[in-house]
Amino acid sequence: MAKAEEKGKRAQKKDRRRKKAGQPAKPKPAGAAPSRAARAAAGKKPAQRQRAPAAARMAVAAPAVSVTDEGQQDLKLQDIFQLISSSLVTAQQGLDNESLKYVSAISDPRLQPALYSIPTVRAEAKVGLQKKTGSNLFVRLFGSPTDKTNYAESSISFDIVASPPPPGAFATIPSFLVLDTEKDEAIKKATGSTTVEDQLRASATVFRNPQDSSRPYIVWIAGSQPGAAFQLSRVSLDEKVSPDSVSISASQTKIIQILLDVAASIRDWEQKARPPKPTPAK
Amino acid sequence: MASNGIAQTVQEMIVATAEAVHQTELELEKPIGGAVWRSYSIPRVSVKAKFGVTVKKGNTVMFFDQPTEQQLFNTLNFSLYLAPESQPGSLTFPAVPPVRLLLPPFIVPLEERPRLLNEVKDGLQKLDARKFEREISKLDEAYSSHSDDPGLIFLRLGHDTRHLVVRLGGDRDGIFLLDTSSDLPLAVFSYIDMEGRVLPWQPFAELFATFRQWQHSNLTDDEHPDVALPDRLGAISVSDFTQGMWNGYTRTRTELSDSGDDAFAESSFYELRDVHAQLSYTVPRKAGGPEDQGTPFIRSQVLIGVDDRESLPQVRVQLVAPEFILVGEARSALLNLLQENLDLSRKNKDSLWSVLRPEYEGEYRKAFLDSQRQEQALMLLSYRDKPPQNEFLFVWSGQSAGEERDFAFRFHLKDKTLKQPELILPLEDPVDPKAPPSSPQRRWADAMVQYPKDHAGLHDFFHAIWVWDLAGGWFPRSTS
Repeated sequence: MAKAEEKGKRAQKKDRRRKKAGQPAKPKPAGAAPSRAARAAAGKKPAQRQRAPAAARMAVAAPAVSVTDEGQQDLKLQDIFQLISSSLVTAQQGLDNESLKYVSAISDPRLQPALYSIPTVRAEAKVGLQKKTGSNLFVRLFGSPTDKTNYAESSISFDIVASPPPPGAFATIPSFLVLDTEKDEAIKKATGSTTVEDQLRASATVFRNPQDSSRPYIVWIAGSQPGAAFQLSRVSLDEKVSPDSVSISASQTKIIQILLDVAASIRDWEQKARPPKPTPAK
Repeated sequence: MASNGIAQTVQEMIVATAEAVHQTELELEKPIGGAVWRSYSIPRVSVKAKFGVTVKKGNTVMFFDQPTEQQLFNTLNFSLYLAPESQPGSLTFPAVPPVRLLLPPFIVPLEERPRLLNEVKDGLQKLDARKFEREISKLDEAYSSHSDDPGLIFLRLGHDTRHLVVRLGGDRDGIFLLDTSSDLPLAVFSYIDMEGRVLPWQPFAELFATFRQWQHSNLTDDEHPDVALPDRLGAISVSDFTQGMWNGYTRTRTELSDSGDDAFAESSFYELRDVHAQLSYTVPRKAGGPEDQGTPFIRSQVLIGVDDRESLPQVRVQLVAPEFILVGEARSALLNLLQENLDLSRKNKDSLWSVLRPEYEGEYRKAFLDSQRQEQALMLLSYRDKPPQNEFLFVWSGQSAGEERDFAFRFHLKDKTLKQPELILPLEDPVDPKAPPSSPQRRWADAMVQYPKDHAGLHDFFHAIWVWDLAGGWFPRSTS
């Protein structure tokens, strides 16, 4: 504990030195966890380092925050909404993962599987408004005591609610099917590539495999050419766990055809389950 | 046009918010993946922006940073609601906003004042043209006055036909009660050449009853459909701000809809609702206002809101309270200060008890402790010169000799405490406050109040009304 406090003090001293020298405080990316030193200052034991699961990555990009000379954050109005939205989405994705783990762990048939969700978030931010050149309206989140003397305290409040699926879409995606960013991450692990091209994504199907905790995903990748080999892999998103892959030879045409038919049916369903992409605003 | 600065800022604020929400909404609408279909939406955004108003190069503009002691009291509110279709209603808006003006029932709009003045002068001539010759001349002089002395104020007494008209200045103030529905339309309580310094309390009691009624009805205002929007209400530039807010509102509505050239709504729409502003004015220190600005006791408040329930929206302009009557937070704060003062010993010269007769302390104390009487109590500004100062007239009710009565006193606020108490009208003997306790008490209906030239309470209270009026837009007067 004494060591942790000392670390915290060191970090605070560092910040003070920076301020004294007229340097801005070290900028921290939005959404970043507090530093180990900061946690130490708060007397908390640093958590074990874990790689965030792909599913926990944000669907709504967190804004890049500009830091002023005083070390304070000036945000565009949109940043406020995005900060909260991305946090909610991240939290929900985490909750989905935990829900799935919970569902997979249920062995008693009397218990009904349940998925949990955050139905609504109400945000209220106390901010200082600032009118800059043109029509840009900037906001300053109140943090430092000087903010209250430099700005009148305005507020922005809003709700974010879970919305129903659009008409025609399936309400529920089967729990075994992996989509979106999480799917891409699994494909990358299975193929060893750093990016996922559209063609590769279209030929791949990823299943969740909670029975195998060391490699919880099964990836099917059909060959790009007719008659090519079919790759089956068990993968984990953990960097340290290498994929366990098997390739079905192109000569096994009957097996490959059956697998291709199953994969095609699933992909077809997957396409229909997706709503049309919204038109970007001007 | 002076309102362009305000209009532009209001428009930019609302549009910037709508754009920001819209962009985030589009992102959120994408399903987030995982086992269950899930996407999110922002159905509502509310913004409450605090701002100051200043004049730059002839334009009235809003600013948000560098708060001053006054700036914190202006707010602009608006909400955006997600809707499946664009906001219903016409998008053809008149350039000048249709206005609904609401004023406290005792405020007399500019349009009515010349008529009332003429009726007072006619009444005086009919009563005795020779006797009131000098008074009539003084009334004309006061009506055209551009300074704080002389002055002329008009107050409506709870009914359209009854008005109290007070001329300030000279050796004696003129005090007239005009009732156009009566056979004797004019009652003269005081005029320039009148002898004596004691006046009936009755016209003042009627005025204070009107104030109490208004206070009791949660400051309900009267609508004036035929009255033009004044430039100012007190020192608040309502005309400028109303036009600016209207321009901002109409331009934003057009932009939010899908019919405008610059429309950005495509897949979802946001409706603009609840657009309203609260404007407050208190005299800042640099303009000679009170040193203690912690609680702004002297404050005028105006609400300006867009009423969009009808297809053609209107702007509702409401004078919540003129500065000469304390309401809300300011009134509560002053009441607390009075309670503190009542805890002081009689020996303390700043204690109210030091000016009250000890033998009636029980009656006074009972009146002060009665919560209903606390709610009914009036706290009014009452000061000399200008700008307004923290000097207050309290009008309280109590019971003495089996009768319901008013009593009144005045205080100065210094160093966050009430000081220099002055008794204006005692509870116990409303005839002659200097009479010995053994003097017979008259009936409350016959109560009299001393009203000399330098009267600390009532004259100064009417003076406070006049200074508020002077700063306002009812007459083309300067505030300097």
